[in-house]
Amino acid sequence: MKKTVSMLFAAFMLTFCAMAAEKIVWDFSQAEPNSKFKLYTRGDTKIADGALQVKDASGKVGGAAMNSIYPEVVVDKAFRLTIEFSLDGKFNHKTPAMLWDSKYVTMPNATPAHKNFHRGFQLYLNPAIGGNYRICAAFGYGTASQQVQANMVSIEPDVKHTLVMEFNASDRATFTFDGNLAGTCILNQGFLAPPFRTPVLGDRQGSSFWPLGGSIYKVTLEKLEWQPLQIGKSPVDRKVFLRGEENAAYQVNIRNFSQQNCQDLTLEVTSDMGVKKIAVPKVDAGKINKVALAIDSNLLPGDYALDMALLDKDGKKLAVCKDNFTIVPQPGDYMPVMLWGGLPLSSATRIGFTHMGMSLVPHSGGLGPSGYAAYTELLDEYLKNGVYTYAPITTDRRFTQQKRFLRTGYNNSTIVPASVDPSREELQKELLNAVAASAQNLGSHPGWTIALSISEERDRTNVDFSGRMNDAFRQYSGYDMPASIRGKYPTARRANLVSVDRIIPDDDKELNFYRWFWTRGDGWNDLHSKITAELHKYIKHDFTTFHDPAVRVPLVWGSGGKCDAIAHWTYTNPDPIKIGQTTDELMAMADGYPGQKVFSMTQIIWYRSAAAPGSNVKNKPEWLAREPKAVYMTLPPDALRIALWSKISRKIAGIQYHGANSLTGEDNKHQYRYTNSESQKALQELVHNVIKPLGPVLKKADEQPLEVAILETFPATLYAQQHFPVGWSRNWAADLHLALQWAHFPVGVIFDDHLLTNKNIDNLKVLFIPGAEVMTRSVVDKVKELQSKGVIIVGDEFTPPEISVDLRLKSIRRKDLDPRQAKADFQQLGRQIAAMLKKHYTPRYSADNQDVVLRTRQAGEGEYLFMVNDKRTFGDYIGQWKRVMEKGLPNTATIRIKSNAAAAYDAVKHQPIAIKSANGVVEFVSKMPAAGGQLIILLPEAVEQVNTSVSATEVARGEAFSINAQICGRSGAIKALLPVEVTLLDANGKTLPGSGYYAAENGQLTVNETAAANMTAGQVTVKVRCLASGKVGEAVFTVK
Amino acid sequence: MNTIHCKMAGLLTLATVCGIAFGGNSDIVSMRREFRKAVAADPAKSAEYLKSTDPEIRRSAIWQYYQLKQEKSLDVLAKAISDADPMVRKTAAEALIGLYSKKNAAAGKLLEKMASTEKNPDLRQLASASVWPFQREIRLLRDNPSWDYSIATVKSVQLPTTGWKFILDKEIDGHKKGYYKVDCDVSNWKDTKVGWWESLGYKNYDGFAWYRIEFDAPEKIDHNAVELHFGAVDESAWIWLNGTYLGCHDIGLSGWNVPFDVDCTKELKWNQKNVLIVRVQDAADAGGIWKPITLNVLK
Repeated sequence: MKKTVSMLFAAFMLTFCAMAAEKIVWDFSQAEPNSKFKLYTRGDTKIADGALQVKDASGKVGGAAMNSIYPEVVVDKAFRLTIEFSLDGKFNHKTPAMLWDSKYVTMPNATPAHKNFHRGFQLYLNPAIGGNYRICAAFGYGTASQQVQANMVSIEPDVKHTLVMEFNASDRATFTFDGNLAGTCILNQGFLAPPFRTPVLGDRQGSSFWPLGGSIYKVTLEKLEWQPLQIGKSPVDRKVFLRGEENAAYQVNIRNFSQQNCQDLTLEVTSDMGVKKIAVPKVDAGKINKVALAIDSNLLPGDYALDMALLDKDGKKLAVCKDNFTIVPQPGDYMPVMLWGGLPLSSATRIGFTHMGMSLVPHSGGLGPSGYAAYTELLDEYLKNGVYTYAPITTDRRFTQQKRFLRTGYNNSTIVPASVDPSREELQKELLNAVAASAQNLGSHPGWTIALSISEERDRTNVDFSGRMNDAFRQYSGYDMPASIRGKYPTARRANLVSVDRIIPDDDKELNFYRWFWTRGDGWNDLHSKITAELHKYIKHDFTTFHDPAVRVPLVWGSGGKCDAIAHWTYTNPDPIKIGQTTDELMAMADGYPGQKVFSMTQIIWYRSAAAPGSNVKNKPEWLAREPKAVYMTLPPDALRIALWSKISRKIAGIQYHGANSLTGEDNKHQYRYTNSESQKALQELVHNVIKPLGPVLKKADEQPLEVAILETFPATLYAQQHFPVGWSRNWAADLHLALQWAHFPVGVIFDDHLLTNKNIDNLKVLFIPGAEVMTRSVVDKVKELQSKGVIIVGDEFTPPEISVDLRLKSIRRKDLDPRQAKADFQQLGRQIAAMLKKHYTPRYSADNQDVVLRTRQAGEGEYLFMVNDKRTFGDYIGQWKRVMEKGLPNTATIRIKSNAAAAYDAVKHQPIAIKSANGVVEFVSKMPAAGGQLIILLPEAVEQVNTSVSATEVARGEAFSINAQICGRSGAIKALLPVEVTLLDANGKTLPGSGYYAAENGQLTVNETAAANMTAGQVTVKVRCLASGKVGEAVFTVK
Repeated sequence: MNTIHCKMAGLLTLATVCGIAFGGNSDIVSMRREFRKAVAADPAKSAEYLKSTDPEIRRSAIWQYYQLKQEKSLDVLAKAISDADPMVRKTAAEALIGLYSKKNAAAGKLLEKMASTEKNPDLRQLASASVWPFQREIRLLRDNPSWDYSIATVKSVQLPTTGWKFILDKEIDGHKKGYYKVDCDVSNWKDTKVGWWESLGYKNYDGFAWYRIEFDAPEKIDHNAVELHFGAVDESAWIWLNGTYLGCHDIGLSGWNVPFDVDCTKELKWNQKNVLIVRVQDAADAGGIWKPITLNVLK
């Protein structure tokens, strides 16, 4: 024991580093590579020209094997293996290129025949995409094996490279390639089991062969010093904590790899929190004990060093370790800006993304300890940089490749693409187990806040003709699936094939089937609900599930199930305000599930074929020379700006983007090409100047009661899809929405469900029913009832003949129109509708300029007027093709709004604007920059001052305090939701926690904080700035 | 009333954006409310509005009149299919379809008249479809519930992708002109090949067109059925082989990329020239026979 203890002073670090004890070298430049540990070549392999040459063995044995299992060559604890090698440029790898194999089978199965293959190890290179190789290794622990994958590397052929693998016999293997770190892999267990077969260089030991296809010049095996008692951070636990987080603890693993139990141990930790001593429970031989080191999460945000030592009862250090932990600010009240996919952290934070994707839920089974450890590390890294994570959950691959989970097509046909049946009990069990495993193991990490539940599943859904779906439908309806059903959409296109008057009885069997199918029968909505419930069962912090695309379906409530939010992605060409149309559809869908939120996603990519096809244009843009073959290109910056303003004028809970590489171009091989560098600048500017400061208000200000709605009636979205957006924000119903936006109508979308449940229709004044080739009897009756109560019904040539409309439009097809003409036509249509409705309905706001799109929201006595400058022309980016007017132009408009407001403020510029107010109408002139947006906050009285106070004049470190602010007019706090910036500065001018953006509800704000133990003593200045008026209130207090 | 009539004319072309300006004086909304109120109280009053100058009132009155009078409304409907307003004509057509579905031959004749004389293509198509003379349900071997054997394709012959004849059918009366007949004069048909017609020079054409190809059938082999497999037609197809109607693939917009089969066991002429004729309708975006057709011999 004494001898053991004397060896324990070597530090065990997270990055494993130890002294080499023994070194064995096979140097093939020597006549005898190693005189003691001899090799013999196999097959066509030979030692020549200073190398072990392993050529293409064509499936035959190759490489060089050792003459026996030399005990000295057996490594079970820490070791370093260094191999200098080259790959033959002529060799076309179809199998991995083996460097060292003392294991034989990479991942043995559970049969007794394989029990001896959980021994030794392998190091090999796996052919990967783009001619690269993935560094891989496999380790045998005696009763189990583990395969790890390090980085993908580019290996120049016929050039000598050096690959080093360090195995620390504890928790990780580290790889370096030509001197550069090429990955650290978390390991499950400690020691390796000694090999069962002789080690082989350059090929597999046996069975099928994996010849290196190159040369090995030198192999060095070093056994490293290794300590039987070790301390270090528990790999599966985190070391980044939110400030103020309750029960924050850094978890220390005490590992006893000796043969004896260890007791009377103490963990001594020195840090900015002082010196802490923690009694360590007895650690049995071969076991690991986890000890929690409580973290003072009220420390100021930053990194904090930890010096840890394991002491025996006499105070002697048995093991030491240095590490650190990090405190990051609370996220505060913010609008998520999610990137669907990923970017380098530096780019993400520069642009202002709050979330990026991470595959935290595996395709099958659980991630295992190494997976959880690796993702915890990654989540820590993201969180440290202020980036949170969403995790996609998919049924791809895992289930689509298993026939038992697939649906059967009509007449026993195979459905293409494969259609998974999510109602299968085994599928749900397997998927929900995987979800639960990730939630249990990673769900406590505050960096994981969002999950995406099975994207695009409805594209692949279909009717199952195996009998299962029929049974389920019969149970629901009492009768069989109608014989006319062939798939997820009806086969009869023409409405008059449905019925002569195009009014279907509500109990029509085919319609009933499709209503059932799209709400519950295809099973996906139920599965979304179950995934959501499973995640919330284990994840207790603020956590949101969402599903997208939620309106690429016939429109009936339920898409996305009980996900906390639903989302959709929208291509914003040719008219970027179309994202408002999609967002309105999402809000209508979310009405079906109380409390469900809406996220809105803009596609960063545009299809080149739609925006700039071919290369035959005059005045070729510069990007065309760089990217002549681009299929996907970057959306223009002004389209991004207009779309962003358009979506935030609605009450959404999150902003999303997809197509990262078209935003930053950091992956030169990606199919999403980077053709415009201005778009990321536009996004960055908007996120930092608009979304971050105004986010809390943008999320909370309410939609106004719906006065003008477009009905997207379910049967028509089934039988006459050609009139509806069905997820693509195009066709007549979507274009009518644009026309109404340009005509300043406060337009929204409703479904049959709204009408039949009287949801959000109490204030309805005008109802548009475009493309309604088929309607149900109950909806027709409801429309007529509304009409009898004074709601103006606007139909078109498709409206069923029974409905006698108040106004009738004729649909416009955009197809043959150029975008300038189309916009002009739809604007004219909007003007004409407004003129015809004038005697009966006028929107509460208007502008003398249709290129300014308006929308209002409300909170208390405040009104929030969003203005989007949609004045555009053909620019020099893609305007040459005349497919899209992509260039914004400055604009001036006189705005009128029915309001008794006494004051108005530009929330982005934080200043009042001049208004005229008379007879209940507020009027002002706005000069808007190209593609610009404005949020004007209208208030019943002017902001006079910001009263700011702190709960105490003196605050001790560790003590709680609160900041109170009132945004006041002459009559006191203004009863509106107001954007506020709070800044706390210590005596040295350093920004303190609690600083950030808030929404003052009813003009009042309270921020509760705790003085950090490491705060600088002295005066703290608190500034509260009203981001509407720009007025600032100040208070001070002293930290003792 | 003249003023209102003028406004009504404007309204009907509202979204065609023909540049008609709308004044703020007319109040058709109120007028139509009054009409609805009157008819709701007494549906028979619809007869009084059949000649209203407001086409929407006229249209609605015609529909209500038809609902009340059924086959006795034929005279009114016969006039209405010549109304100046397309929505009135559409409503009349729908009413006629209603009567025709109840075997009213006179209604059928009026629809046929409309199918050949109506100028509005959508209405012409509506009328035409309702009196489409060719009916045949596609019955494939695999659909035969009494066929309890596995089915193997013992021979497949891809039909030529070039050498097709092609003609647009803007009037939707190709069937009346006998385009489906083997002996049809195709001297004015254009040469074409398999592919979307947009890429073959018929840019932005949405509507009907006819394709015709002559192909050599293989020598007869033992078989249980012969089928033509269409890789894809964008988006609806009506098929004749050697002058005999085989059936149609008409599932709407989503049919553009859906393969389908038609049985031609009795119609195929083995080891001879065969004439395949396909009437294609495209309602949106690209159109045409754009994937190859294969003759499959099944055993």
